[in-house]
Amino acid sequence: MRKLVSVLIAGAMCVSLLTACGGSSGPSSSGGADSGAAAEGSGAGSAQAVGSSMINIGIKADLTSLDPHNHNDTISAYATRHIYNNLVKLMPDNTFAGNLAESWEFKDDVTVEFTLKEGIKFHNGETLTSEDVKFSLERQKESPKVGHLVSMIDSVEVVDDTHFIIHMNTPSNALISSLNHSGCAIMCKSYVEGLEAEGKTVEDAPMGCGPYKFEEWNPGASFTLVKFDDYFDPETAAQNDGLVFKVIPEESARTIALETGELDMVIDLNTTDANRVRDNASLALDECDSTHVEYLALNVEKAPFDNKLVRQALNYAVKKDDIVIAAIDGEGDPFHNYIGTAAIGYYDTAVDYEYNPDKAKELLAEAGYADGFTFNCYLAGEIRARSATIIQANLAELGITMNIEQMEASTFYERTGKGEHDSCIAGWVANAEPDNTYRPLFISANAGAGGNRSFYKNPEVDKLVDDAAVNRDPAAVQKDYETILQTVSDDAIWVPLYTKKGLVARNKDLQGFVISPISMHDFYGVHY
Amino acid sequence: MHKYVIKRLLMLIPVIVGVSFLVFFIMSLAPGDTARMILGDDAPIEAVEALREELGLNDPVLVRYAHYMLDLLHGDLGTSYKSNRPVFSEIAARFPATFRLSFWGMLFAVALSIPIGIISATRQYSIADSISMVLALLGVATPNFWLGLMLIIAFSLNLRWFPSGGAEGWKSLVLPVITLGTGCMANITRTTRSSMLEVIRQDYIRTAKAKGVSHSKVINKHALKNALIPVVTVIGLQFGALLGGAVLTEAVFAWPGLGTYLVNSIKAKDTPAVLGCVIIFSICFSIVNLGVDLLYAYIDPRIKSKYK
Repeated sequence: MRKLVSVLIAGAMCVSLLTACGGSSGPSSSGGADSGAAAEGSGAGSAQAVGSSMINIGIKADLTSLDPHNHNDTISAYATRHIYNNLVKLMPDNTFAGNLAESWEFKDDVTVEFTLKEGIKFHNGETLTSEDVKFSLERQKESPKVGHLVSMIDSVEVVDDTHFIIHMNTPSNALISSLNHSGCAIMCKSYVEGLEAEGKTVEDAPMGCGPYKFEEWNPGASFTLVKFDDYFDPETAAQNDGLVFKVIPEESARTIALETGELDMVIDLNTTDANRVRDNASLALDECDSTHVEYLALNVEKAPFDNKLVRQALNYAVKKDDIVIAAIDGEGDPFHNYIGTAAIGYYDTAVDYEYNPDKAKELLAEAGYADGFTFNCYLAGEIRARSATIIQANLAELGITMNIEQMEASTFYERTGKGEHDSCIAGWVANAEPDNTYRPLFISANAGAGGNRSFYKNPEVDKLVDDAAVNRDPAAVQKDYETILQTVSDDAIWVPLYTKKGLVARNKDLQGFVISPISMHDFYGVHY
Repeated sequence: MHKYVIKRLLMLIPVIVGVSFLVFFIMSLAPGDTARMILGDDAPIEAVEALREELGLNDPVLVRYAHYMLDLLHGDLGTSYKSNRPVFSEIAARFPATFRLSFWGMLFAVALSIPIGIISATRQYSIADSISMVLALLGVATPNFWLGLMLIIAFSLNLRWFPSGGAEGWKSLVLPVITLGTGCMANITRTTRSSMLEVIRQDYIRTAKAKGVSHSKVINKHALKNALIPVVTVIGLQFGALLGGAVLTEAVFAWPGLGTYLVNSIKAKDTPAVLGCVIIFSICFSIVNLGVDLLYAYIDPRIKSKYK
């Protein structure tokens, strides 16, 4: 027995040693910048404490990469968008303004000349030049993850330190909006080449010319950015000492950490917690219309959804108010359009099929399905399963049987990509470039895995999408998009269900936060 | 004894080959496109194709497995599809946290459950016995994510004694350790009780009592040591399960361990990352079991004599 006890004690000592090692060092990345400020904010139990200038932000998952050319996800972008910077930025009114770029001018359909702002410093003190831009865009083109964003760029011609010309291989309206994407971050050529010569990667010590310097990443736990004092633009300079992004996967635990003061903000608040935050006098809730649309896609290649009347009947039969309550606790609005109201490229030209079961019955009878029919609905995720249950009940009243087939996300993508489904529930979050929404969702070439899960093939729509992508006349582009929305909604290829609000909860004393409809939040203005 | 340990450690090789083979093929049979999961719904088909080519996903499964095993022979666990970083460093960053949580969870469970099990057995059908058995039943039946949230609400939100999550300092260990340890505690308590009940009815216990040995000495010296073999077995099995099964506890307490990483890797069909985790878990499980077998020898001299 004594031996057993001594073995256990020895084991405990080993673990304590492991604890000491694992807790502090490990393979966490560190930028090597001064760590005083970060340690203050991230210490256990130090909580946020009003007045502290490190802002603790709760997020649901960890970042995947600190190299802007090696990821295409929102969470990693919280880090890279603040460490690096882009040539252009999206303004709250959905226009684009210069960021690193002072100005740009289209010389012709495929040639754009840019002028850089002067004297912009990287975190290592070097000055930004056109060579850095050329290097970054060429490096990005090689990336399998974000290279497609700049596929229209043929070459970058350096004129002098602050002037360069982008030559495109095809006319494209997406160039400017793409340059605002986190994947189009501008890196320091000599720094990256130096790192690579030493056998290191950008991940080991990311460095850019953004408002924050990289401080530390503890995989699975948190990542920390600290203010860059020599930042060029007073308007977007950090108003706080730094940002600590804390990974808390469980939704309720994230909200509780805000209530206890361990967090200052929670991004993408769980809809079930929205009222809890509203009722708490020390918290505030920021809300916005988002570009997130949920919809039931009807596979137009399969009977009976090859019949437009049946598809329209379904649009009349679904009671969307109930879905908004069941699926997202009322934190959104029933929706009839195909593009979120906050998105660039939204126009109010879609046909609005209001809830009208009698009209649905009429259309079904006219289509020869007066006695109903049976079809399957593929989906992934609990929230969509709740939407499906309501739709199932609505359709049952018309004698239609909807079999819900819930599956894991990767299976869902594969099977709906192959067109095995009669219908499926999906969602779409539009980004700053309308072509990135219209092209995958509606053109023939993207039927299936490309995003068009209705397998809708309409040469007219294809032509309009292509024209809107290259036409330099904004009025013509608007006309194209308006016509597309009118056409697809008249063809009723989906039953649009709802738009979900963007929700960010924060300490009520925290100021300066502007919520972004596309979840690309900036945190530099946040302060107590 | 040394020969036995070396033999058992060598047995790890077929375990790793078998486990990696199974996981690799199950992952490749499961539907879903890794490249699409990484790039998201809005990436164009050409980009997905390019990534698939870059990751080597267009190669036949056997070719991919052969490449993987060849790298593994060189001690290389491969590169994560999702993050493009070496799987070994990703695991090394997270494993200590998972091990720490599991170890303290197990220590908490053992420290409480063995005394409770002994008391239950020696005072069978008493109030103490009934209470501990009801508690054990509740412990097994309580889902640990629920228990975790309740503890957070009580001790973080209301009393503010402990942080609600993270892994900074001993205070952050308390709630996850209780959450994780409770389920194990219940199992070990029941095993200790039934094993003790069996032992205290043996002739040699009656003899010891008849010879006038004190009650505490009979229980702690003669009975407990003989009752420990099944208990140690359960502890070993539970510890293995804790390492791989702390997923929910880790998620609730934002504990930066391997559990969440493994689940996210499975979702993304990140085969090298999943395989890396499974191989590490298999090695741990095997080593813990070896440890359990060696402990038998300390507890029971008859077993020790067989190793020689």
